[in-house]
Amino acid sequence: MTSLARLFTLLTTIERRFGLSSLEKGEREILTLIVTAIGNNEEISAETVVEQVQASRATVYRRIATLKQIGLIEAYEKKGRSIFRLGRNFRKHFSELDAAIMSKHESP
Amino acid sequence: MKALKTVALIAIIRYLFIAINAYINLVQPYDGWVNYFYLPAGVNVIATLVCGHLGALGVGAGSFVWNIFNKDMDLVSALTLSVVPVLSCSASYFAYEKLTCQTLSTEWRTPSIQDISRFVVIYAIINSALHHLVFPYVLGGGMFSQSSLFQMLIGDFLGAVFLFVCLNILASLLIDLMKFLSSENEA
Repeated sequence: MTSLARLFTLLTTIERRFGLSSLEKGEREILTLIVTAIGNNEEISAETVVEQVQASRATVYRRIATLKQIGLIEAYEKKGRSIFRLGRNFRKHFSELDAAIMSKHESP
Repeated sequence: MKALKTVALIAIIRYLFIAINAYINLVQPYDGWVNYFYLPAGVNVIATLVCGHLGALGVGAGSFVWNIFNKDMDLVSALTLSVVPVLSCSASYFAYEKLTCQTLSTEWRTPSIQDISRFVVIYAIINSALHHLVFPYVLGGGMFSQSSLFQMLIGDFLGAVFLFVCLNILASLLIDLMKFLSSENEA
């Protein structure tokens, strides 16, 4: 999971800088925060995100809900806290991307 | 076991990218080893940044398999030319850590475009210099013109940047696709 998160931060460098995807700025900020924490093998909860982002609690929770709905992140319960990890959809799609790249390069 | 899987996966990806690069170079000027566009350099850079020295080992393993099965080299030459990318990746990883004052294995900061460009430049310089130190002994002296060092440097840089940009665009498209699919499901 750590390597996948690091790969994701690398492969979204241009997206973060120039906003290539249709993610909102706030959603991108929260996603970066969560993925960077996972890349450092740290557990990040919703409360930590609320503390670190300059926005109201309601806005942060709404953005987290959007990211969850897209499937980029998901949450699991641990000792009463909601901890984030990369979403199942995200892992699935990234595996598909890997497979697509590999099959594309097998063809020649 | 996990480390072995990582090395094997990177080796397979690296092998496939060397194959596609060899295919591309069939229709471009190519002197057998050095060219102005070397796509696998992107794999080397990304694997090293993500997996560190383990990634460098995977890069070397991929090169070794390619040299043995596709270049028909003897074991010593294949091994020597496979150790070079491992050394270049590890050395550039080390140099990058020193320059940016961070330990990538324990402290992962979100990299900026400048950070990655810096890493690519360091890698291209070290890799082309190390290869040119080894080439005369493995492939015979006098085989390379002085400009081949510059050519390899440019090739590594362009290949790494091209792959990095393409994968970044693909990742953005993937995020948009996921967003679109989730909105469709909701509707």
